[in-house]
Parts: sequence; structure tokens; C-alpha cells
Amino acid sequence: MAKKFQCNNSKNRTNYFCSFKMKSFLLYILFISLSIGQLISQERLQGGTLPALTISKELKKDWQLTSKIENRLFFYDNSGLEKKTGLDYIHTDAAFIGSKKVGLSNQLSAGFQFRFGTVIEKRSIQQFNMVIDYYSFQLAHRFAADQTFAPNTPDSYRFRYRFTYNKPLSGNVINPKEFYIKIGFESLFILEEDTQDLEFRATPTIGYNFKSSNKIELGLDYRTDGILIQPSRQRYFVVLNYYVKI
Amino acid sequence: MKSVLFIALILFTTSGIAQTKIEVEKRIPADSVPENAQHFIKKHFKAKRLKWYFEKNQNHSSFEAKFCEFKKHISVEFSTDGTLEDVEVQIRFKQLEKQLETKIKQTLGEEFSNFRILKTQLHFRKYHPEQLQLFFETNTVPKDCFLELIILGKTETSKNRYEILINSNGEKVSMQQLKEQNQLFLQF
Repeated sequence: MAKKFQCNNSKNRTNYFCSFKMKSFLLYILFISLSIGQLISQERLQGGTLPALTISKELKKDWQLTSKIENRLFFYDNSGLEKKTGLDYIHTDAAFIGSKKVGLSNQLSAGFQFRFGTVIEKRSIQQFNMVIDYYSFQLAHRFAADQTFAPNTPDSYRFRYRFTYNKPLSGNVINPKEFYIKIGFESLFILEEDTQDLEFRATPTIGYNFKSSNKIELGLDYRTDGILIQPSRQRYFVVLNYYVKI
Repeated sequence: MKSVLFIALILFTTSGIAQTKIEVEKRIPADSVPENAQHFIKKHFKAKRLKWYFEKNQNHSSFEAKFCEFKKHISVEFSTDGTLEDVEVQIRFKQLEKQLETKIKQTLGEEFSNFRILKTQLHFRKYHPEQLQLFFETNTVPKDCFLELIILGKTETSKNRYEILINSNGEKVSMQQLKEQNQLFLQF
């Protein structure tokens, strides 16, 4: 970079031209820095943790019942008027979902979720899953929709698509007592009264498969929303998931 | 909060998952593999990205070498004393001759109301490089060679994964149900 903007007197360039080019470059750098600074100062930033427990029971005729409990805690929040630090409990989600295998490796699910926070929010959930096996990894697609209803708050409708890549860290399948990586990308379209918004999520995690096939995962969940209705919000969560199949 | 946890626990009480073929493979260093097994690999293959595994199921233990050759995934299985058991070469099902492909689909159709082939491997009990070469040139499965298929099959009562051994005439030799992988972590 430095070379590109170096004055080269051997090529008979005038000092005026060199200084003009350098000035333009410095102005450009200043403009970019100010723009980035402006963006960062406008962003709302939150950091927290999402410990979750998912318990599932297989039933007859390809049915499955799943329950998921997830807590949300923040340890950093400057999304409001003042910056908050220290551990702050936000809410607990409790979801109950019934699923049925359709086709050979697809699953259709529907259920509801309660969010216990300052008020109780109710959410209905519908989703369709596909898991595709490859030689040494798996790809999963999830198409979902949910509707959230809470007192004194406009109803919210979300349409979601998630793509997940999963690879064992040893061998071609996840055996007991082995680690694996899982990376998920999700995009959400949110409708709320007259407003629309987009949210993107990226979730890289490392998991461990116990002898019982129960799994534990630790990773990061990055979420950004407010893309269509600025200012945007950045959220970083440390995720800890535990999956139990009984 | 406590009541929610209590309801969740009550909903899911005892467990009972039917288990069939449970195969576990563990990555091992090359120096823990019998010398004759290592020698066989060196003699017959260039073995790019060679990895050794110790494989164990309910009634059998073996060493397995996995590598890439001829742009294919190859796995060579040895007994615990290093004697060759089989050589498996992963191919695409559609690579097979049309006649054999139709016959295998017919055989699977008799077992399952719906099925999907997930993996197809040429299965040699004795390794003759010229047989493999012949397959690559003509797509003809040699007479003393088998095909090992991993399929997702639907019967009247359930959907499961199966490992099926098929002979060169497209007839079923053996079939084993595989333990279902827990996919809960990909669904929720």
C-alpha cells in the first residue's frame, strides 16, 4: 500500500502531484475511519449467554416429542439509553414441539413456546427439516415460521431459513465419545405491524457426543438485526446446548 | 420456572431404543497397526491422505485404512492380526450397468415400500487390482465382487438405515439394520 502511494522522483513526477495524491489518500482514510466510527457509534451492542437444554422422546409411528428450555442472560448491553455491565437475567423460553417424520429423512414439526420475562409471551412454531448425509459430513436445512403474541406489544411474524453444516472431528460419523463441529447460518424475515426487518445469525459450535448419544455443544451465536430499520443491533452470545434423547 | 422443568421431565420418562448394528471407529496412529497390514497398503496403493482406524461392532473388531485413490474413497479392512478382510471402493450407484441397477432397485423394492440409496461401495473379499481397473473401464461388477449399499428404507412400521450386501447378479446376500444417528442437534 505504502509503495503504491510513494512519490517517485525518478519518474519526474512533480512534488505537487505527489502531495495531491497523498492528500487524497489521507482524506480517503479519514473519510472511511469516520464512517466506520459513525456506524459503530450508531450500533447497539449486546453480549450474553444462551444455555439451553433440549429433551426429546421418540414415539410410535415416527412421531417425536421435544421440549427445549433456554435462558437468556446479558453481561453487556448498550442497546438502551445507558450502558449496562454485569450479569443480567432476561428471560426463559420453554418450548414444546411435536414432530413427524415425512418422506425418508425429513421432519415436519409444530409446537408452542412460552417466554417468561417481564411479561409472558406466547409463540406458535411450525418447521420443516431436511438432513442430507454425505461421505464425511451432514447438511441440514430448516424452514420455519413463528408467530409471537404478547400483551401490549404488536404481534410478530417471522419466516426463517437455517442452513447447518456438521462434521465429525474424527472419522466419517459422530461416534460416542467424539467431538464434532457444527456451523449454522440463519436468516429471518420479520413482520411486525407495518414494519419489516431482517435478521442474520451465525452459530459456530464445537460439540461432544457422549456414550449415550447425548450431546453437548459450546460456541458462539452472533446475531444482527435492525438491517431494514436502522440502527442495527449486534448481539453476541456464548451458547451452551445440551441435547438428550430418551 | 420450576413447574416448567417439572412438566418437561414428566413428559419424557423411561427410554427404550432398539439397537441393531452399532459400529464404532476410532482414529489410531499407523504404528499401532500390524506390519503386514501396513505392508499390504504400501504394496498396492499410493494411498493419499491415509488414515488408520480401529473399528469395533458387537461381534467383530478390525483395523481399517481409509484413503483416496483413483479419485475414489477407498477403505481396506484387516483382522486384528493384519489379515486382509475386504477392500471397499466408493462409487456412484448410477455408475453401475443399467441392467444391474434395475435389478438392485427391484430387490430393494421387494424389501421396502420406499428407499433412498445413500452410499454404494464395491466390496472385494480378495483384492485383484485388475478387477477394479475393469470396473473403471466398463462399469461391470466382477463376478466374485459384491456391492455394499447403505440405504434409508421405509417399511410398514418404520424408517431406518440398512447396510445391504448385494451380489454381482443384484441379489440380496445379507442385510443389517444400522443404529439411527441422533439428529436432534440438527433439528432444533
